[in-house]
Amino acid sequence: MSVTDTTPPVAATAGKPLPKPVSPSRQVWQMFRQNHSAMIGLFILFAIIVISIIGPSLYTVSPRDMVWMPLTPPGQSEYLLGTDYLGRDLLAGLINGGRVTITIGFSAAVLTILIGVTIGALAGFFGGRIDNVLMRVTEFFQVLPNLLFAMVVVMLFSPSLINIAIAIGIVSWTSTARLTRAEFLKIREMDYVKAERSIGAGNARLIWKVILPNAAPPLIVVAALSIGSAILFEAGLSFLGLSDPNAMSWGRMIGDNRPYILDSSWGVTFPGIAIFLTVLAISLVGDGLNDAINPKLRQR
Amino acid sequence: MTSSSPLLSVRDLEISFRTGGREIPVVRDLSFDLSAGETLGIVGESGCGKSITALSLIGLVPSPPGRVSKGQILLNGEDIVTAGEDRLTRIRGNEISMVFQEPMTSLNPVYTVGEQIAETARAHFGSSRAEAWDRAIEMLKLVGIPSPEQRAHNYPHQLSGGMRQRVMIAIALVCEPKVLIADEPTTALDVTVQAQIFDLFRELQRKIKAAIILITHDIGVVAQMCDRVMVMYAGRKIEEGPVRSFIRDPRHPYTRGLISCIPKLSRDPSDTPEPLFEIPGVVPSPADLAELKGCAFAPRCNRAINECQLHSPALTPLGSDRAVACLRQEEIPA
Repeated sequence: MSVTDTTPPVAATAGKPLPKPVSPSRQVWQMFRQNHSAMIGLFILFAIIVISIIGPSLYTVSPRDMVWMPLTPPGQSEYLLGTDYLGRDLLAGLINGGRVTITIGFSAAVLTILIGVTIGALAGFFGGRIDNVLMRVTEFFQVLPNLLFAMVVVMLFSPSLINIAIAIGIVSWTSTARLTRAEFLKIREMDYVKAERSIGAGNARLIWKVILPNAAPPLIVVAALSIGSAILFEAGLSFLGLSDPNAMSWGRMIGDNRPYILDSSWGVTFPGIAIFLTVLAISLVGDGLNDAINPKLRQR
Repeated sequence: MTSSSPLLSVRDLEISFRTGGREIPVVRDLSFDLSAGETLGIVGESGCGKSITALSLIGLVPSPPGRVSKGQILLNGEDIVTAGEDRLTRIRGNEISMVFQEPMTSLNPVYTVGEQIAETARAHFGSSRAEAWDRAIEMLKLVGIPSPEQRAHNYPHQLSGGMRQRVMIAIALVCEPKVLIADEPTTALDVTVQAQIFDLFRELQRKIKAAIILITHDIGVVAQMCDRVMVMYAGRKIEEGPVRSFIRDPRHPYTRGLISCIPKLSRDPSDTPEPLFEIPGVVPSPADLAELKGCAFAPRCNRAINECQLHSPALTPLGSDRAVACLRQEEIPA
């Protein structure tokens, strides 16, 4: 630059129409909408949730009452999907069990994310000794066999819905913690983190307001997928008999009907299909989110 | 040096980095003052300690491995070196702000620029959301961004480099700091945009009376912008003075070299251009310097004598407002 250069400020884009600002979440939605399998997944998931919420008030048969002959095959009575080994209506079980299953899946996933993100964020942000300690704790939880550990937790405390959700959360947060830590390690070195610090951002602000939103895309995907795995986990525990005796869940239906699987395959098939559809839908949505968020990352 | 009590006063600053079990100083015996409303240029080659000095002023020397190992940084009489992290957080942004070299990556990509300015204003003034937003738009207007109401809703990736640097400046100035540190603020920008940014700096300085520390290796920028210049070489201050005397009558051989390195334009096209001057060699590494007894520039200096290899020259005052660290500065013809 020459010493005498005193060009007056020129508005670089004066006169041109401004591009309409599009928020990142809106862009993700636009990408997501073009993904057919993800939209199908979203539709299935939406349908399952709606049925679980309003179904019980529309289809008023109680899932606990013995309404017909035990082990009636589907289509042979007014109870469309047949009955189980106690003569309870399977359709009523499915409709009512959805609530419990989805609630457990969702709350276990929330717990997974809460624990995992907190530990990963602290470890990744502070590094050094804190990182060391937290990562050793994470590894301790990682090497425990998940199912056994969850069984022990459920058996120690009563198998209530809350305890089951907590048990699932406690065994599944480790991978979220590792992912969060990796993201934090990467993002904390970014120029904008340094810049935020230089204008007076404290640690708490840097962690929650600066780094976490930037680390969010992969975490959102993991959160979505962890709902699916929590549902599977709950089904697994129920299958082994560790379910809340006061709540009807799909996993519990499978567990209850397991001894009669050779006489009445429908008793386990229908709840199995329900679980399969739900987890499939969640996985499709999760993959769709992943695809929708990632090109955005590359663009940045 | 101005006689009025300085806003910022750096005394015998030493910054060290620990590598391989040894602590190696990268900045040594650095003292300077900055008065309100003044613009101080810090000039030097890459690796001479400019940027780390700037970071130390806001308590952001990466630690470990680095630390301020000696000296004081007094801001209105308060020592930044010994201040706690809480206090530093309050000083940053309110008293001292910094604009970084990389406008392309220094803005948070997930927030709109308006939100980023407003958030800073909220954190510092505790103002309401609506007030902070108005303040953000006001700042965007102040730094010369056209249609600020719409631009405030833009994300950083939707803005050009010059625009982003303006936003960075807006963020740095929203709390009206007393000192603004600009670390090569225009290196990543076009020359035309560079001129706009500097005009902006001058204008803002008039408006909010901030002192500016401008770190650069561009002598042209210094001549245009600064009141006073400090030349650093290998972690030390080797020359300091008003910008006029620095350009017209550089005393240190290194400063002379720097100024000779600027290509000169001739009005007469028939003139054969002189070959461009270059300073031979490179800046010695801080690790080598630790063992060096003499002047750090001696190995590259065309006026070095034997004595230069023996002991490091102290900074000696020259007139009322200049200082040079060279054994032979008196012998060198003006």
